[in-house]
Amino acid sequence: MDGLADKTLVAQACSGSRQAYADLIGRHYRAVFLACLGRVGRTCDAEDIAQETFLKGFMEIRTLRDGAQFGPWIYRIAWNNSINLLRKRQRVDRSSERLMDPPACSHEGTHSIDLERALVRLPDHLRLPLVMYYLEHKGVSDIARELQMSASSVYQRLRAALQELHGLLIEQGDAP
Amino acid sequence: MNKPCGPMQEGIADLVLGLLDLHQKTALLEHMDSCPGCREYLRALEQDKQLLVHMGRDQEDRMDGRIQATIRAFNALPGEQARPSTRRKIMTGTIVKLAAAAAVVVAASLTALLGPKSATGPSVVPPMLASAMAAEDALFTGVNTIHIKNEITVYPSATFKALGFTWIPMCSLKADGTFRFDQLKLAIEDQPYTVTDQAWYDPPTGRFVRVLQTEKTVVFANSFDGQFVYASEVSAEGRLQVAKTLIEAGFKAPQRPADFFGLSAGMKSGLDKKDSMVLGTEAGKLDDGTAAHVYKVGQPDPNGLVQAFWLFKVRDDDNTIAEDQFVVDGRVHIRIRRIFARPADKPDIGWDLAGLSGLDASKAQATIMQDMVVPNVSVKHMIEKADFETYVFKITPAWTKDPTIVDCIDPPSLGKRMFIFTCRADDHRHLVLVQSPSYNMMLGQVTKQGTLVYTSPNGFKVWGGGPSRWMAGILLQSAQAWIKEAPAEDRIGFILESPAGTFPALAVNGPLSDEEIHSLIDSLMPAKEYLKSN
Repeated sequence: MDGLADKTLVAQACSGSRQAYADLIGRHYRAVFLACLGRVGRTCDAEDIAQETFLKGFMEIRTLRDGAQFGPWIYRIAWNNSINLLRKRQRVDRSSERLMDPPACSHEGTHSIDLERALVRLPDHLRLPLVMYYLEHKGVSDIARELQMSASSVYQRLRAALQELHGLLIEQGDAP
Repeated sequence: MNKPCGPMQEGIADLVLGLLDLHQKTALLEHMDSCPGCREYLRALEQDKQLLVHMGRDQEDRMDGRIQATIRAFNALPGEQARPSTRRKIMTGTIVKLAAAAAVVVAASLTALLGPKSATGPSVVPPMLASAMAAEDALFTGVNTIHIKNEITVYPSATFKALGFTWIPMCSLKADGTFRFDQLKLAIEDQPYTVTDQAWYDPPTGRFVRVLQTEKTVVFANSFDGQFVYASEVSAEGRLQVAKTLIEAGFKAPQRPADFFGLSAGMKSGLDKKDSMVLGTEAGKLDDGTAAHVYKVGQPDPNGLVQAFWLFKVRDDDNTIAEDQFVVDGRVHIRIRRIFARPADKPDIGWDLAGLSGLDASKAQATIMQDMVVPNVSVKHMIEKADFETYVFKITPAWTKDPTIVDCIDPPSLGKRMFIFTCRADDHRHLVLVQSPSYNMMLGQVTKQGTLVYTSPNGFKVWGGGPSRWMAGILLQSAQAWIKEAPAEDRIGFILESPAGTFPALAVNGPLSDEEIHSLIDSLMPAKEYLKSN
């Protein structure tokens, strides 16, 4: 049903309907934003990437052959944009020859800021399943399917992520 | 702290993650009955988990705002699927984003300060909010001096990061009894910080003291002791100086102190009009759990979306305003919170600000920029204040009236001024011409997205299409305090390229014939020449 509706909206957007594309944004934004957050860890970066993704999506929507695949297609654009940002971040870190923690940009209170900082510092392979589990509310089997790994690997990563996150919060002096 | 048993740590993490079956869970809990280290570790991980859950809720709460911001950015794309490279240039240009954000915030600020000044009519402010504002007014009555302390918290901001600062409008009293509309300029830092805003007011005499300070220094002070008005300034050496000015004949102390330095400052004049800007109300809570009603106050932008707005939180228990939040692009930028309001004998620093002179103000995260808005300035004033060639209409069009020039801070161009020329029109085709250093810098590129529609004998080129209509909406909204109407659907906009290479932006709140456009543009002339000939 969703696929059919997406297909219709994509067709309308290709014909110049801005409302149709706005509807697609409304429908897919949450998933795209949270995927970006899991990848890059920092809220403001995820917001920028998600927005850029949808604007880029609009520019390239005529290249999408099957409108029903809009979700996976826009998700891929977001994924690539996230990777580009991480590479850029690594280059900046290397060029400045320092290992400075990227500052957090959330501002919902001290805990949120400190947690975001710890999340940014968490290794990518641990942050992603943790965000999917707690922020996207996905089950272990869904995470396993999306990350193309076994359920037991997801268990291991979630466990390691929680333990490492706790260690980082202690290191920051922010453990509750 | 007791250490958890090594072999148990993974099991405890699994327990917190909810991954254990009943048998495993029971066995682990039995172990923990006799192991304080493992119990403590479980408690700590549970709290980490709660932080994640809380963060998840925060993210969900802000999702709608983000979606709206993205749709707004998308709607701002010019034309129907323009060339990709063109579109990207427009949307990702930092200066365009900043200018757009700045214009909206300036519009919100101006409207809050000056009010939309629409036709008079019954107030449509919700009763509870009206009652809270009345309670705020009542603080400044009676016979005792009242001492009010508010905290202004400035949060890190992705929107304003490139600009390096954000701001709120603020009034200070002048010796003639009128207000000076200033800008409280607040640095954007990586961590939240606080500016304390304290005021003492003596109702029988109208005397007052207002002091804004950060943890590091006093930012600004303004007072009236019955005879003199005092205002702080920062010297070139970064030291505070207090200017003392005898009040002028006919001076009247502020008649509505709550509108001057209360928590509802600017709100009443902005809301107590027919065109109320209350956009919604919902039940909420304060940080300490006190039940509150939250009022969303702002204006939709030309696309019908609310990009910047204030949230006013009114306590349910005593119906007073507890805090305000300024939200841009779905994120809280600034929070103003009431710490207390209580009787006091006298101000801590004296009615004459004694003791402030000489204090070091060089490290302030906040500064006062005087004259954020100067309404009704002359052509001569504009020429003197502008650092670029400005233009005026030699003859204003027959369908317009009430020409006004407003001098404002140009937010993206540090220390420079922008000038908004407005003319009202009985047929609603109000005219707004904006000239500013930031527009001169950015609009040259934007003209390339549009088309050249007219070249005037006076050397002006007129560019239409592209983002012009969108910009017209922003300009008309910015000038709403003067034109007194919201942007119309059939508004039109043009970017002008002057012979001097500047880029004024023109908006008309309705359709114009080719003849009217040509006549309007043909009448533009350098302000200096206009002044000489008049």
